[in-house]
Amino acid sequence: MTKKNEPIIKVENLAKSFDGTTEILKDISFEIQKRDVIAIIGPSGSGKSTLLRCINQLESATRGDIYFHGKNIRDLSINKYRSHVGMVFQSFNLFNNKSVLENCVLPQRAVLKTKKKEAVEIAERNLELVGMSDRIHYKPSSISGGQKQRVAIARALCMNPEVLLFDEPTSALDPEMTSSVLDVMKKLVRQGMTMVVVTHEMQFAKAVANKLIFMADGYILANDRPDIVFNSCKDERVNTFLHQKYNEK
Amino acid sequence: MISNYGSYFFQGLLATLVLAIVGTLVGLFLGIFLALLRNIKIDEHDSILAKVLKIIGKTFATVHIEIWRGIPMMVQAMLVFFGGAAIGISWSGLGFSDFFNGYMICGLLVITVNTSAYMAEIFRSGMNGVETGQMEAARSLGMTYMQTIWQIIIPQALKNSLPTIGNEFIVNIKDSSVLNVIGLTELYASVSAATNRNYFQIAGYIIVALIYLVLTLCTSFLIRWLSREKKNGISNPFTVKHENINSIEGETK
Repeated sequence: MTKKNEPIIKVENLAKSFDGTTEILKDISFEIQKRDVIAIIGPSGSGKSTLLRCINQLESATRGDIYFHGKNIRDLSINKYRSHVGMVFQSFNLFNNKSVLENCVLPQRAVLKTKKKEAVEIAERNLELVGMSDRIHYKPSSISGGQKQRVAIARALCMNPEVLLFDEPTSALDPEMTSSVLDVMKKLVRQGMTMVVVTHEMQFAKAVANKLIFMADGYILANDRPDIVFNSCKDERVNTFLHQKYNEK
Repeated sequence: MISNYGSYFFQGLLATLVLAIVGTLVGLFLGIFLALLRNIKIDEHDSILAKVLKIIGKTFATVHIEIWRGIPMMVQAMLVFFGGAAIGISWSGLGFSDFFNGYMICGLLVITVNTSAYMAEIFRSGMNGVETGQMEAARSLGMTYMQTIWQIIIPQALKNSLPTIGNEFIVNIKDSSVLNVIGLTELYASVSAATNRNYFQIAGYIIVALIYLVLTLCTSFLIRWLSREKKNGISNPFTVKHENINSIEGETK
C-alpha cells in the first residue's frame, strides 16, 4: 500500500486553537514512516496530547493537513481512517460495561465486521501477547491500572492498526505497573509496530525510539535521532529540559 | 367491605399497576430517545441539512421536556381528555375490552408522555455521568456515534440511572391516582367509590394507603436489590470472587 519512502502519516503545518485565539499547536510538521518509533517529549501544556488527538481526529485541526498514505484525511472516511490508527490513552478508557474479552471483540465486530469466532481468536491472541489471557472474563473494575493499560493496548492491536498512538500510557501508573506496560511496548517495537509515544519516560525514549520530537509552546523545537537530541542539540531549552528530566531518573 | 368490594379493589389495583409499569417502561424508552435528541451535538463539519435537522430535534426535545414537566399531570390529563374530545376523539368509544377502555388508553397516554419528560432528564443525567473517555475510546477505534451510544453509553447510563428510574416508578404508582379525574378507575378511584357508597371513609382510605405503601416498599426493596446486584456485576461471576486480586498480585488499583 505504501510506496517506497512514502510516510504512513504526514503532518503538514498543523495548527490547533480551542478558543479561536490561543494556538495550542503552531505550524507542526513531521512524518511517520513505517516501523518508526517516535517519542514526543516536552513540558506539560506544550501540545503533545493535542497533537496525538488531532492525528486520531478526536480534535479537528484549525489549520494544516494530515495525509494518510498520501491522501488527505479530510477525503477519507473518518471511522475507517481511525481503525488504521490505534490510540492508547493515559486513563485507559476501557469500556466499563464490557469484560476484558468483550473490550477486544466489540470494536472488531462493530468496525471491521469480523466474524465472532475470528474476533475472539484475535482478541485471545493479543491478550496473550500483553499477558492478560488469564483475565479475559474480568470487568475493568476488577483489574489493576497496569492490567487495564495492557488490555487497552491489546484492544488497539485487535484492529490491526498501521500506527499506534500512545498518549502518556504510563503517567497514571506506579513504577511496577509502568515497567509491565513498557515491557509490552518494547515487545511491540521488536515486532516492528509503528508507534508514536507521548511520554515522560526519558530512559524509554532514549532506548527504544528511533526519532525524538521535543515540543514546547506548540512548536517542535527538535526532531531527530534520540542520541543527537540528547547529546548535541543546540537549543538551550531542549537541553535544560532533557538534562533535568534525565537526572531525575 | 373487602369481601364485598374485593374484586372491585383488585381491578383498581391492576389498573394502577398497568399504568405505572407501562408508563415507566414506555416512558423510559421515549425518554432515552428524547435525551439523545436533547444531548445532540451540532458539529461545525455537519452539512446544512444535518444542522437544521439536529436543531429541530433538539428544540423539539427541549420544548417537550419543559412543557410536560412544567404542568401538573392532573391538568395534563384534563387537557388531553377534553382536548381529544374537542377534536373529535370519542374516548368512551375507544378501547379493546372493559379493562382497556378509552379512559385507560387516555390515562396510559398521559402517564407515558408525562413520564417520558422526566425520564429524559434522568437518563440525560445518567449519560452525563458516563466518563467522556468512553466515547473517545470507542470513536478512536473507528466505532460510529450510534454504535458507541448503543453499545457503550446507553448501558452505562441506564446503570447510573437505575435508582432514579425506580424512584420514578414509585412516583407513577402514587401519581396514577390523579387520573381518576378523567373517569379512570384505578386503585384510589375504586376504593373511593366503594367507601363513598358505604360511608366507610376512614377504613377505606386506611386500606388504600396500606396498599400503596406495600407497593412502594416492595418496589424500593426490589430497586435496592437490583442496584446492589448491578454494582456487584451479576453478569460476571468472576468479579466478586476475585475482587481482591490486586492485593494478591501486590498491585494497587
